[in-house]
Amino acid sequence: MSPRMSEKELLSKIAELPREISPARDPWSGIAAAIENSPARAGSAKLATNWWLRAAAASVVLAFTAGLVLKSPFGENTLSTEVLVSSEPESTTLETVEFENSNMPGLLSTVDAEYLAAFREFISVEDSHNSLAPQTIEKIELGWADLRVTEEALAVALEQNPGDLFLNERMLELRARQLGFLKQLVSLDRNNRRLTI
Amino acid sequence: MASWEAKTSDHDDESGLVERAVSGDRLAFEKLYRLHRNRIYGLVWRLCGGDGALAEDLLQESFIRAWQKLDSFRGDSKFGTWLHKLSANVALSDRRSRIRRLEREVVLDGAAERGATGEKDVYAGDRMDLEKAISRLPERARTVLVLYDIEGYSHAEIAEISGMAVGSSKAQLHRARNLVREELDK
Repeated sequence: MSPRMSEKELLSKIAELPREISPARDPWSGIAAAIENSPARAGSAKLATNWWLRAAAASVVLAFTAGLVLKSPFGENTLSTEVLVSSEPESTTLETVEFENSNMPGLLSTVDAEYLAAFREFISVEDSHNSLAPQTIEKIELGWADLRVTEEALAVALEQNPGDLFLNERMLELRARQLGFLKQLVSLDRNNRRLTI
Repeated sequence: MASWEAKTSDHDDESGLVERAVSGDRLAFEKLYRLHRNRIYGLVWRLCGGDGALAEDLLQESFIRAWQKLDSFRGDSKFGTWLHKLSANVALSDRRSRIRRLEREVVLDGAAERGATGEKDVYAGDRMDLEKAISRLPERARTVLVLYDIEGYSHAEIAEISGMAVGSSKAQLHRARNLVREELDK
């Protein structure tokens, strides 16, 4: 049986509904109390947003520095780099990936694109870091300044010598580790979200 | 004097309030709350099926979340639009809200509960039956009808907020409208 009221009539009635309704109780006091307890959040928002990037970067700083010291710029014809492939935060596994040197700059741009895509995906999820201890965050942030210097220096060097095997090799390592770390962060974020729903 | 008034007016406009709130000014944030409270309450009240106590909780939660996420407001849209979407997300992802909605689909005697919630003005006159019919809709159908027909969201936006496919959103809207019309015919 079809309804007697036409859809047009219904939509007309719906259009008359008020968009604004007054609550019986004003919950501002509860809001004020809650935001009073998180006074620094809005003011230090940029810092909070950026720390994941710092975390990702910090994960590569030691390995990257070691790579700069230990690896010869004139080495083998293939590059072996360790890529973090596990999506489980607690159990990181390492996998060796072989790259051909001849196509290194192209490969690097592909890896860069993948890294940026993963980073964008990560940016779209938020707030899982709320539960991390301040000292953990602090530890992660400590490595950031060193990493930025290294990463920026490498980027400048690569811009001047895009075909340089050694520089490409280092950047590939950097990106691979960043990518692996981001995957873990995304996984951690999703797990946290599942737990909070 | 005129320049002072102009300055004050600039400061009190919404973007000025948002800017001040982002820098940690709670007074500015309270003004934003006062500006948008009833609009957001209307949204979450309908999304949670007309449960006043729950809607007040959701209203509170929405503004707390907004304060926490102010840094992510980029100014691409109006603050009210951003806040509205955030509040819809809060209401749709709230566990209590989901449970209550499911319960209400089984227990349809909502009149007594609503009588105690304080929204008597909403239920005054001709609107009463329509609000009641909307509140009795199944969860997904009500979500789509409230967001599309009342709040003016597109199906793509509803899909993004609710996690359902665009096609499902269209189907749910069709279903919701039919159910409401049938309810109003009784």
